[in-house]
Amino acid sequence: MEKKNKLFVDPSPHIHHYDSVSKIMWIVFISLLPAAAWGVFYFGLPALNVILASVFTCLITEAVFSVWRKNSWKLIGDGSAAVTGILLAFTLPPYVPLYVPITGSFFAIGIVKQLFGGIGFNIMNPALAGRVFVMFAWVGAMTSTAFFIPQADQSFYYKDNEKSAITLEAISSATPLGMLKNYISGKISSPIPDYKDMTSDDSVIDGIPASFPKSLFESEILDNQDKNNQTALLNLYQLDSSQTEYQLKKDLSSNEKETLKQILNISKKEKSSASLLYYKSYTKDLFLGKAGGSIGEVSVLFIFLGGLWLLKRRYIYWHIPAVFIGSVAALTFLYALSKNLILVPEYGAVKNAFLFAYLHVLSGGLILGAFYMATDMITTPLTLKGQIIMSFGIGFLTFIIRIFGGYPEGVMFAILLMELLVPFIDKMSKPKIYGWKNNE
Amino acid sequence: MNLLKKGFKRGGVKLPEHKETTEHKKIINAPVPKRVKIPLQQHIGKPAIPVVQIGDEVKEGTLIGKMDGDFSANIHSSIPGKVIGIGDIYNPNAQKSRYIEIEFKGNIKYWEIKNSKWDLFSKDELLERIKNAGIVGMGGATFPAHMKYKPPVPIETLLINGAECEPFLTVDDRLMSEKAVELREGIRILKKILNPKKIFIGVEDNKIEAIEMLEKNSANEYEVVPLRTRYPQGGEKQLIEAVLKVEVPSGALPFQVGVVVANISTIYAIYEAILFEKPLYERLVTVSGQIVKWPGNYKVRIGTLIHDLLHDCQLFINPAKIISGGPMMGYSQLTDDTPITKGTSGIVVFSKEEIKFKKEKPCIRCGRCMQACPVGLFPNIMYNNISINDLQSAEKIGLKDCIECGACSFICPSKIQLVNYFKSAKLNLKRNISLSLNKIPRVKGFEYGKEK
Repeated sequence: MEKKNKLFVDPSPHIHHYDSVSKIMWIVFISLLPAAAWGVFYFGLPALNVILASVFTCLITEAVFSVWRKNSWKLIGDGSAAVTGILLAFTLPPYVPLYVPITGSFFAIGIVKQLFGGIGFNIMNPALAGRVFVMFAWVGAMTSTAFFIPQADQSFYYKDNEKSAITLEAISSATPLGMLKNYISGKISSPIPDYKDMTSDDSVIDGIPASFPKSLFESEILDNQDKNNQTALLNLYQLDSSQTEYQLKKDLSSNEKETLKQILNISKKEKSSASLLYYKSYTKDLFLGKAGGSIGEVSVLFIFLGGLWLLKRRYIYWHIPAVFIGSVAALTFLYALSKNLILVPEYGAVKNAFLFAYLHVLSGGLILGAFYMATDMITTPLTLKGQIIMSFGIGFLTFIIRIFGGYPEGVMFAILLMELLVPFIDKMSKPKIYGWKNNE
Repeated sequence: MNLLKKGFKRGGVKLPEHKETTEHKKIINAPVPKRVKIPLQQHIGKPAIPVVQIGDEVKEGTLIGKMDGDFSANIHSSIPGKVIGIGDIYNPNAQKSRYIEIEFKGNIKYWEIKNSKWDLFSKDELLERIKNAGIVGMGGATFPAHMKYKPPVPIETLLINGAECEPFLTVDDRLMSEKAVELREGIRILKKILNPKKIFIGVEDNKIEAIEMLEKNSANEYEVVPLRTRYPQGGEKQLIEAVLKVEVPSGALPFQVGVVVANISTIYAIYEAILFEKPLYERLVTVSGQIVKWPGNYKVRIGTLIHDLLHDCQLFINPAKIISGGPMMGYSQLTDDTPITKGTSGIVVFSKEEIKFKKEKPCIRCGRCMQACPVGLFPNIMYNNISINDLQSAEKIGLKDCIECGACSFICPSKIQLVNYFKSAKLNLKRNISLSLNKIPRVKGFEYGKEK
């Protein structure tokens, strides 16, 4: 008999979709890279160190645990560990000591993911669980560096703890969300950062603040009076080496000091316009990624663009970010309306409420959470209905924690809490099966 | 605009169609093979009983296998010649069956219209003729036609399935485009048998020419319903849902909601059987694939070996995988010595480069299988249940309602062969045995035919 050629036999279907797990994961990873690049560009090399430490620890932990669980170390090639690593780094402040991302990554991959059975079996998002772990394990390191002064000297924060204790407290309390929270509860009287509080005592010379943030000078000019004042101030202050603050010039004559006091008094009288100026520049900075925060949370724009790419490739569904962001926006808006909150006296009640909602949506890593954390395939409900229920739950819990809870930041806890409810939501949101009556 | 078109409600996937190679190729006769192996089991039900012996002379259309009881079908010789052997063979759907081997000798018969006045026949006489011609459902299920078109209750609607949602296959498309007049006659025959109030033809909107021709030749006998192209539109229950907005209750048959579904190829076979008195011994087969030199829609005699058919169509290189039927629900063949049967609507050939075999990875709960399932099941939860050998739990959430369309396996990014597990689990439930997952044939992809 003639020799037959070999035929390949396998069960139907014989064609498959081009997406695979590793492809999905690596594309998610790539979509995060622009935001990471912005973080590194903005914060400098410490941010890069944090990202690298986190990603590599995740990969190594995954490999070690895979071998331990009698799988091949090559499983790290599916990219899920790398995604966890970069997401964890994104939720960390840029100037944390490197043991923070390392322990966090180990906890995320080793405990939360591998001990539960590896990819597909974790009940929580590993990156978020790791973040919560480091938040409670390294309270000092995390809170002291929670809010930053970009490209500041790293040693300033944790080499000389005693000296900087007061300073750091002042800085960390100045996170935008914390400030808003304190303003609502009446702890502070002004909804804009009080720069006198931010600087230590010796930075005030004869009642004149030694420095101003750059944004105050670059904001929109209101009228001629303001313009004149600004020009005068620019003569007396100079940009410091970090390019972010204006420092008072060293040797001022008494005449100049008088002028300065006069100008500052004028601007104090017009406190409302200062508030307007602040928020006008701040809202812009927030979107473009100049407002500060953790590594990945600064660039709302890049996170948003990456998320759009994933949406286009259908790796995530638009329902989750839309419902999550929408519910937070709606709830904060209604809350501000009901409380008649005034952030900028020039604005009306509706516009103020809108500003309040805008600040809440764009800060505190909410966009990162909405596009990358809440949409994690493994820990979201399977059905569309379930996903909508879950994302509304996240939005609601975020609102509750942020406004009424003990933390200014609520996204992370809200997502983790709702993830634990996923099996229940899945059960609740079963689709109706073809030809069945009431699914029984 | 697309959203306004009719379609089934749940799930579905958009497939790469690959129809462009054959959708404009006219139907041509495949060369008459020198020998055929005609299986006696080409239908659901009992196999036919052979009525010829080795050495007997047969003609085209001679009865060689007589139906065994009502739930069976007649088998006819597809070429004139001499019976040279009877043995066992595997059908394309991996079912073991006896076959009758016939060697070609003599002349090809020319069939003429005998009963142009078929209107004179009674309903029972028409059914009897369909039964004698050995007609079965030719969409793939191969349910004996005389059983299917004799529903115990009067029906409301006759629904004709021209969806042809499988990639590569274009035979129904070509039939509708070229033989619209003949199909209308066939529909009129079925109308007389079933006496429905309405007749619809559901056609996917990628078959523009077919829709045009059907509408042109309808003569108000039927209504053409263009459907949104989406797999599995051609599933019986999905088609009923898409066209009539009615759901067939779980475990019930379509006639219980007053619907009978007929395939385009079956209607054409009925037309030939009544007007020409020609038994079902040949059918249309799409031969397609990138390595086929002359892909097309061929009229192939039942029992022609895939080997011979592919030889006639000329392959550029040796095939690495031969699929009988469409790539979504078809069967990959162990050997090319398999005969074409009444249910074979296509032969799709893949080269080695086109086969992408990927290892199964753990489920990442992306939920795509659930969104693709046209029945609304939770494929991944059923898979979890089956993998811990809990078939009862899987049954409770709808395992038996799975239509085995393969949409879940297609879409799965972890490349889990979900539908394969469901088929095995359903078989095990039927036999009331519990096998652990290790014993369910796992997808390894083995090579066959090293030495023979």
